[in-house]
Amino acid sequence: MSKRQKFILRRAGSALVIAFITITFSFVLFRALPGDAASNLSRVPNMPKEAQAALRAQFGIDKPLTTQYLLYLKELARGDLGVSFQDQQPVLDNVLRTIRNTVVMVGIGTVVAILVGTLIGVTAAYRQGSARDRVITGAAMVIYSLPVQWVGLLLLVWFAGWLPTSGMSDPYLFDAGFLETFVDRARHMILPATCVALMLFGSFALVVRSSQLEALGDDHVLTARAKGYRNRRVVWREAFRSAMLPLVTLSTLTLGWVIAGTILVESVFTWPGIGQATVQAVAARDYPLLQGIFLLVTISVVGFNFLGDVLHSVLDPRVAE
Amino acid sequence: MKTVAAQPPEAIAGETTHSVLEVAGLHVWFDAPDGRSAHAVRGVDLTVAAGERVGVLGESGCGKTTMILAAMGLLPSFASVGGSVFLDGIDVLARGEQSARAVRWTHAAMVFQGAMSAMNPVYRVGKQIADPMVVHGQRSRAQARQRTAELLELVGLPTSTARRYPHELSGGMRQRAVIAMALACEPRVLFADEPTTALDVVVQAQIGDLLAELADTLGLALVMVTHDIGMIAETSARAVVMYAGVVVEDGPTFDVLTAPRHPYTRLLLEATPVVNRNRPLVSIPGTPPRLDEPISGCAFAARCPQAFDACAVRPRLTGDSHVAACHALEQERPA
Repeated sequence: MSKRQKFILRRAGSALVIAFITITFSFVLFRALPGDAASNLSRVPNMPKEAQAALRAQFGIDKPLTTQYLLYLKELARGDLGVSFQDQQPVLDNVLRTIRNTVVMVGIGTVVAILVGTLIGVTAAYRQGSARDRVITGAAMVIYSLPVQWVGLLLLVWFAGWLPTSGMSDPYLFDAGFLETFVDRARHMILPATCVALMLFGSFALVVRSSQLEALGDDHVLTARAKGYRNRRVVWREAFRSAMLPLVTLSTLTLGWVIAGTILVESVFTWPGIGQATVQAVAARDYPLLQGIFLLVTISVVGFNFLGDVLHSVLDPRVAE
Repeated sequence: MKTVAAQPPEAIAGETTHSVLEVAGLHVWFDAPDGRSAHAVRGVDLTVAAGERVGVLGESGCGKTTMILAAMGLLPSFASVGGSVFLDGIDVLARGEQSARAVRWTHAAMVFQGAMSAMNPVYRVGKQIADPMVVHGQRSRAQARQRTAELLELVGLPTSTARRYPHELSGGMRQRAVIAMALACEPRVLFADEPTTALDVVVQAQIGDLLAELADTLGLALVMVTHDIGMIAETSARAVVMYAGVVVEDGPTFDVLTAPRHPYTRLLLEATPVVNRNRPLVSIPGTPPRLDEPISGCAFAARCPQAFDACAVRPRLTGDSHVAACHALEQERPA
């Protein structure tokens, strides 16, 4: 087994342990909150104690915590995330339905942010201290520090009329063909995805700029220039290629959170994604749904971190040492 | 790197057609952001013949590394260069980056100071040797791979080294790989910038021998910059001594080391510690002059025990095959 394979196996092991600990932790956290599903439903005035008890029995929250936890793990192992307290539908179905919407929109915004941020960072580093560097670095920093919901509102104000501002499809679009549906979805996605990209690209630009600056000063870049390589090759294939690790780390960390969505962006653009579902689930004390969402977020974050480790060992042979 | 309007290069006496490196009237200024500038190389003439092995000696900051970087057009953007450099008949400084790229690796290659960091850590050694041949259109990928194996054998490394990453090699192996890399495109001139620092003494000697041997068998001109006098004695037939950005002495290595003519060379040799001889360490009193202020006259005068009033004027190199720039010499043998 090569050093790299051993490294990947070790990382996979620790990823599994982290996932298990997080699942346990979130189970405990939810039950540490004051109030439960029955106390919320029972805001109905004069709800008899017997009815409350019946609800608790139905949801299974009358049993001791340890029993609940063991049951939870058992069902989890079978792929059953339980039933939502709100609509009695399987949590898995609910979560997957909303997550699809989020992943496409936030995913596109994040990928655009990574590409644009990388391009900007490398360009800025190429002529450090030049007017171009100062302008784009300054702009990236300013946009990065703006509150995202405010940027979202600006987009709404500026583009309302040209582009749809809420939801993810036109409710009055009947009997639409594939192309029409596609264009409709794409138009709905432009503003929220742009908002996500604006929120994220600054951090990528700054991280790439600083690691690229460091790489451009490395001796092996001087060697590459001495070899008579063209600037484009020196900048991208020598300097950038050896400076990619921070970018990979930040990218996989950010992509891991895509599944969690961005609650603020989804609220501004009323995007029916996982962020909105989370807010509703919290309000309704819908433990099974929340736990399901947290579970998928955990798996996503841990999974992308693991992917980042694997990419590191592929991109830089020294990582696995 | 900016090229400054050059003074017309001084005609070099006895200029021969087979010289592969001709540096004439080379000046380099490093411009600081505050508007000051350091005059790091102050008029250097250096002609190197094909196959000649030259050692450039001098303490840190005397402009020796700057000179060879300028010769390949590799100085950073805040440097200004005046004078001219011809490599293999090609004017390196004529059209900035474009003309410099025409000589890089195909006419002149360089072995850099840091053996540890001269290679890209994320690419395999073989790729880093082979790539320039393909980029310069000299060989196909398959031919380049074939030649990479030959080059590795030439520098005394197993051909399997091509599949290793730089961090998997020892310092000595890595420097051998760097030398193989420099030979890839069959250059006529090989610059070596302190090629043996950061290596242990035994390996230093091996690398020095290897460079000298390769220069001989391949007919390569070797210009080695170092502050290690022993390394010069071992590898170079000709020694050039630099001080504060100018050449102060230039001659056959044996003569320069056994009968130095310039007071700086003499003091430098006296300051070299000798094994098995029990004497206190000596140093040259004082420090080299600041390069961000104009230097009038002989730059070494302030530290020179033989300085006299003529030293207020900058001395010229005098002599036949063994030249030195010192007014005291002119007094001894008036022209």
